[in-house]
Amino acid sequence: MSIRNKALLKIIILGDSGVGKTSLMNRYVKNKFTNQYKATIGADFLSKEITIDDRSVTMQIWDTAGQERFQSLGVSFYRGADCCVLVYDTNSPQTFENLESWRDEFLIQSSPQDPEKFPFVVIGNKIDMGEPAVSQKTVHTWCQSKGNIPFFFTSAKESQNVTEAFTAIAQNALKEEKTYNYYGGDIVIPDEDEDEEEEERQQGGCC
Amino acid sequence: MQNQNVDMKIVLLGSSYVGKTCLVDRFINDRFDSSTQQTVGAAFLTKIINTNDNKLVLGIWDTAGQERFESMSKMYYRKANAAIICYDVTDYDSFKKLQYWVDEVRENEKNCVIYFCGTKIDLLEDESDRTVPMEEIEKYADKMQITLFETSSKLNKNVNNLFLKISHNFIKKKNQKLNSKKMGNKNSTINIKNGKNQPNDEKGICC
Amino acid sequence: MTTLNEQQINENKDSENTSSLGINKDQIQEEKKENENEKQEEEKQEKKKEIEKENINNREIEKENEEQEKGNHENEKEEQEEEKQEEEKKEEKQEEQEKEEEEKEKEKEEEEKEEEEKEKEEEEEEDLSSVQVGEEDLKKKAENFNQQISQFRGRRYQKHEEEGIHDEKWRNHKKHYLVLTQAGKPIYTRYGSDSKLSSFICVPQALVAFVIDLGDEIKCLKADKHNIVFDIRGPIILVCVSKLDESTEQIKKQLKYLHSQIIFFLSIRGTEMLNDRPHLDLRSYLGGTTKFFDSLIHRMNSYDFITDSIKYLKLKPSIREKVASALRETKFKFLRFAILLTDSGIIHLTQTKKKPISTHDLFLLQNFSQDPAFRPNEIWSPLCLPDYNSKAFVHAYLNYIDKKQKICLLLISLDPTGFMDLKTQSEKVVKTLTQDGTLDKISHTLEKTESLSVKSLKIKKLRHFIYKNRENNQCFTMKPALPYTLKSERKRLYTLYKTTRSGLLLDSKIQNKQYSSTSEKEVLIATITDDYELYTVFHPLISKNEAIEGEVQVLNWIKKNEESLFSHNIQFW
Repeated sequence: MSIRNKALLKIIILGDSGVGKTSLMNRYVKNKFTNQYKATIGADFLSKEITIDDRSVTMQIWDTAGQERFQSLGVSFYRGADCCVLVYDTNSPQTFENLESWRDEFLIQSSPQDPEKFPFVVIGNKIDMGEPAVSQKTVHTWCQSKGNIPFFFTSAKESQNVTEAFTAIAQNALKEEKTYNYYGGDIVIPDEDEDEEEEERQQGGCC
Repeated sequence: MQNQNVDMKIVLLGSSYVGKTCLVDRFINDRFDSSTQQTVGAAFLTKIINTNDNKLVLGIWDTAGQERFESMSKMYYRKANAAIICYDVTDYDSFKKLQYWVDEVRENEKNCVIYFCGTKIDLLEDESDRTVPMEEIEKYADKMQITLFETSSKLNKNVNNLFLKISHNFIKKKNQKLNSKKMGNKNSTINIKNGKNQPNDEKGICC
Repeated sequence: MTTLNEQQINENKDSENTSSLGINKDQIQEEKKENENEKQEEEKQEKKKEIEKENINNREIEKENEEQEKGNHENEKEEQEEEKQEEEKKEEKQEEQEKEEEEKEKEKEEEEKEEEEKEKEEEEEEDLSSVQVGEEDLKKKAENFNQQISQFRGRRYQKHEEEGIHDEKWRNHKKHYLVLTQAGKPIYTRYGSDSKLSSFICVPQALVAFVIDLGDEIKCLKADKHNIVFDIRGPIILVCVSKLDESTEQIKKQLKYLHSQIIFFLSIRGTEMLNDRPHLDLRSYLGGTTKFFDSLIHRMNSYDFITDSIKYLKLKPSIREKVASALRETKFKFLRFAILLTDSGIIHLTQTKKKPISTHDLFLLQNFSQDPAFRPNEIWSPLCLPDYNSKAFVHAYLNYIDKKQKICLLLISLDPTGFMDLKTQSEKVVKTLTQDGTLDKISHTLEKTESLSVKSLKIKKLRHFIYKNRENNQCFTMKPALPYTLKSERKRLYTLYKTTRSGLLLDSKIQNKQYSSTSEKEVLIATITDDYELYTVFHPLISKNEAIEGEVQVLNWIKKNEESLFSHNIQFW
């Protein structure tokens, strides 16, 4: 595996509280140390390293609190995100409808260069709890209207489809990865005159 | 501007981690260090080779493949006689990058002869390990009218051949020019009688 | 009459209000008269200090989460064993009375040990450079080879890449440096791999964001023994978590240099890319440069960094003059600096009058040029000198001109196409310096310097000193005596120097100051005047009179040898 192609993806998880965001995270990352900071600073952070196409990808996952008192931190939290995951509870239509405002809120606060092309993924969680209250067709239609957002149905509890969903999230984010032209400091061939002036100044002036 | 001690300037180009430094290390010092780190800046190395009674001082630029050095690279292949554009046979991205370098060199240094070097063939246990099939590479090299070499610095395969070939071609070209000058002189003496001035004509000259 | 005691120094560390006063040297004589009384006072003060030491505690904000994650002391197994052995020996000695003979014997052993280690290192170096790889048992050889190299390389700046945030070992490091973007993506971490730390690195970002949201900017956090310092520079956040006894200002200086190291490679424009594209992973642009950050951090624990000066190599004035004239000859279009330097200090520097180089930039250049990968070949590299011009690149020609690859010629030009010309200039210099044997003389001096120790001054009970010439920002020091040959003691001494200096410099109103501190480990006398700074360290059982006398002796020695210690005429073209 090539050492060089290491990618780090910043992934934001959004959605109403109670839809199972944290359980999804715990299931995927299998990390005991979660829920440390959410109450105090408004987000928990997890990471997972996976391999996609011979590339080592680190997923830096930001599990943000839905609470209002942390709302103003959105700009800082969402800054530089590579992908945003919108989670709803398949048994609660309201949580699905709220995805619209979650998405809008995110786009406003993070102001990506190309909002139309920003990679989102929708996850309908808790399929283990019975027949979904929101039909697949509804979800499909909404996702299509928002630029063909891929969607997945998962059960964090039963560990269904979770890995697949996240792998797709990573792939989606990588697709949008562009190689920008690096621009750094000036590399110019200095003018001959510049140097001559220098000499004159040194010779002419006294000190 | 040219350092008079160096007869021929060769520059190594290509993505980072393809093994440019190892290639030069093998050629000049006959050694291989697998923990060689990414080159920062560029190193200039010299080697004297003897071919067919010709003594040739090679000046070799081992450049950094890192993106941030790309704008600098013009400085290295300026007035270079040959450019070896390297790619790693197990890395597709490095192969894709070949076109970028070919364009760069051809645009800025038309007299520079380009060679392709596929490195790390020791990593191929069989042909299927290649990320790009051999036919495709050969086709591409033909299309670009570029000579293709494949090497292993680790196992010391084909490395000397590569540099010797480059040197031979250089000497050949140099001799051709000298001969054509001589021929040209003959022509011009003839033409002076006719009152015409013919430019050096390399077409009919064999070597 | 007031002398600064430790308590006041510590207070100065934390508050802007300076209550310290110093005395000028004229009062030293008065002190000598009151010898006995002072000794008694000192003993009392010592007791007080010991109690006070235990009680010193600064609380501004406490974070429980941080406390959970931080552990105890750093332990490197090999050194621990060595230290234990050596500490036992030391204690035995101190119980008896100090006999110089025994000291000498022990020192010889130490030196032998050090020499053995050096020899081992050298042997390994040679091995690695001359390995021939054949086809047959290639894999085996390669593996051994790689192991040797990684052991050798790893030995100096251990990255501990396998450590993650849940590892006890990672938490136990005494000092962590973390550099990240405003988006929370890692740029550099001193210990551990940045991928493993990628969830942890969001925490400082969140803290910064949280405080900004409150309309403020976070400067530092103190939690138990930890001082967590934040430095926010545009789109880059730099954090240091330190368990050492350093002030926030000192740590901020270190973070500033770390930031400068980024600029050194990318220029300030390069970092500004993050403003437009906050999701950028800067590591991809800094590829291959991690080692320079590691070595910079390592260098921050050195006497020149502590005193904001540049180390010069002690050299006979005649030799230095020869170098000066050789460098003068390199004058060329667009050439701005010509420097001849070694790891033990700069030999000479020639520059243009218009824009002389700053100590800051020179320090970065020294760090850059010492990389082992640069030694065998001629190097041509773009780099950015933050003080000189943070927006543009200059171009460095680097060449180790002696056989042992210890003496480096550095030519800095504005012209990116100037390599061949500078190569010619370099050849001129080599020719000049080789013809009259100057290069050999320098090599010879270099070898002697590496073993030059404070003991050679034969000043009673002197263990170490640093002298800084304030006029030209140059410093000089020598190898210390026991116990500072031990890494842990040396580190402790650095901290003592740092704390002392920063405390003394806080009050800039007073020009001449003298400070002394006594502890069970050593006696330190620090003097700051307009012209110089001198820090001398003595055996703890030295009387104040003797110490002051010793300090004067050091000063005299410096004055006597000034010509060879410093380069007085910074040359200009």
